[in-house]
Amino acid sequence: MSNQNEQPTSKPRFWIAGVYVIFLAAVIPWYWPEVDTRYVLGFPLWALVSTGVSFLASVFTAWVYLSQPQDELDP
Amino acid sequence: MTELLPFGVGAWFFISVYLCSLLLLGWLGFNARKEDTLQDFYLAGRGFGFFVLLLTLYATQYSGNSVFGNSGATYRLGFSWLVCVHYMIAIIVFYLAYAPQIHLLASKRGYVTPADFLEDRFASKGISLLTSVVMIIALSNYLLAQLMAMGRALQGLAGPLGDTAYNTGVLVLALIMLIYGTLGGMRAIAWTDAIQGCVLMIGFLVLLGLLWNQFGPLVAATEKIASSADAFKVERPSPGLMREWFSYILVFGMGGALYPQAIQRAYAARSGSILNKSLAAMAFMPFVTALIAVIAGIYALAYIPGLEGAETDQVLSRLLRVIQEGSLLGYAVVVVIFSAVLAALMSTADSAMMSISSMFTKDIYSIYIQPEASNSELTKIGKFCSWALVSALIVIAILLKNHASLISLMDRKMDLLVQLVPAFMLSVHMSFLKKGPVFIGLIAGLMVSLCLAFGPFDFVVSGKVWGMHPGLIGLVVNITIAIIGSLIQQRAKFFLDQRAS
Repeated sequence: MSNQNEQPTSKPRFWIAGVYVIFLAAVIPWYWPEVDTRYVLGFPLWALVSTGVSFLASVFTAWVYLSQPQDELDP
Repeated sequence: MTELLPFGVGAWFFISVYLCSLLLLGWLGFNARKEDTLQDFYLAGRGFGFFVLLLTLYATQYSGNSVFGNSGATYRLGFSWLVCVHYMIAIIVFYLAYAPQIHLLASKRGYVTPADFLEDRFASKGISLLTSVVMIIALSNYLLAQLMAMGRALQGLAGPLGDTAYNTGVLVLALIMLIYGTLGGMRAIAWTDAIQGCVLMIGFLVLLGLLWNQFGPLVAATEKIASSADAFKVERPSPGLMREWFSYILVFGMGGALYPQAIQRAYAARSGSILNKSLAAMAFMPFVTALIAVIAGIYALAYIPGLEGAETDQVLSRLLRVIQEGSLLGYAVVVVIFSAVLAALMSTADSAMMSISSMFTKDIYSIYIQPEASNSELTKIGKFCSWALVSALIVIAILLKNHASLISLMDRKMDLLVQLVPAFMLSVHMSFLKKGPVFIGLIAGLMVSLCLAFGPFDFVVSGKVWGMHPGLIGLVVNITIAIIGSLIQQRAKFFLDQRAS
């Protein structure tokens, strides 16, 4: 095997990490009032919003995977 | 103990046919082998297409804990356990940080185990060996937990013969797994995972429909909880729980993405685009698995209140019992869901077994014990290792039958695995990382994590420091040493080179 000096490194897309930091901040409901009795689809509203943010994170993650340039994927 | 799910002859016939189909796939995998090499046995010749890769990733990632553990935790904590959906997505997000790159390198350079990448990247026996040992310890604990859960699943069906059923369950299911795993290698495991993944997905979707049909809409369950003494379980998590959310998402996200069986599946993909398509689909799986387990926990909290302690981990079985008694269709569907539970347990256990076997054979035996061994000999050693390991764990699982708390005490695997972040996730992006600082950082991170987890500290409450897992604190120390140490080393080399010239 070759040594570490021959390792190819990827081109990092730092803005993607920034988007995930925003998702992480939004998925934790610190900004929600402590007492809230509104329910939607059987979920407390804070739980639905948190799950919705998670779903957006999934959509974004799928897009990032599928949009990776072909030359970074296969030799 | 009472029978949680009393099954008749028809149900046992269905489950037996399902288990026999796994053995058949093991035999087909054995016949489909192309060569007697480690690459063929442990990576199925790097030929996984989209559906097989997706289903094997899915079946491996979702274990018995996804079914029983998440519904039980929701029963105890309420909607606050939605964090399990978030950290299952986080695993796929952290996979993004290195899986495509590591697949590319693996297909060029023929990696078989996770340590092969590290040996290539750092040329350090210390990092490679320590990583393999950490992974083997973490996975052995995981495998033991799956074997014990197999026994518990059967125990719940057997009424007064529960103890015998536990022992038989562990023994028979582990034996079936060993036979198909060692016959057909990763190829058989992936094919059985594909069946198990389908059964698991169908089981979860059917469960959601059954819960709705039996108990009515979820909103009625939520309102019932809100008007009971458990009303706090529908409220927003407390600040302490929200800190735990932060820690769970990071530690379980990174640790879950670093399971060796997950890394080896990235190696085994036929191409990078197939791997990426499979992972893109995996990003949505928490919504048809973990989220449904949370909903099941909410129904149980509303309609089977009053359970405490270890009983809360049986809430799903109790819900199924209610559904089973409702109609013949309910009975038939519960049998399918029970098969899905077995599928979740066996598919996770077989992958852990194969990973441990490959790491022992390739990273320890072929380097430190018998460097001259041929591929054929190593494959035989790998199979022997699987039998020896699982046999030992069967004995431990039976001995620890009534001491499940000992398992949870050992369950620091995520705190350990997360220490591998610099070596895998950071090293593919940071070419300046050097082997010395990464190795020292890894040791320091492991020591900090273990000392905090097991030391006599007043500030460690329920295994966490201010809501944070010890592994996360260890990781901060680990990354700091790896990055700053590498930069200092790089700077020192620059000055020495300048002075020399």
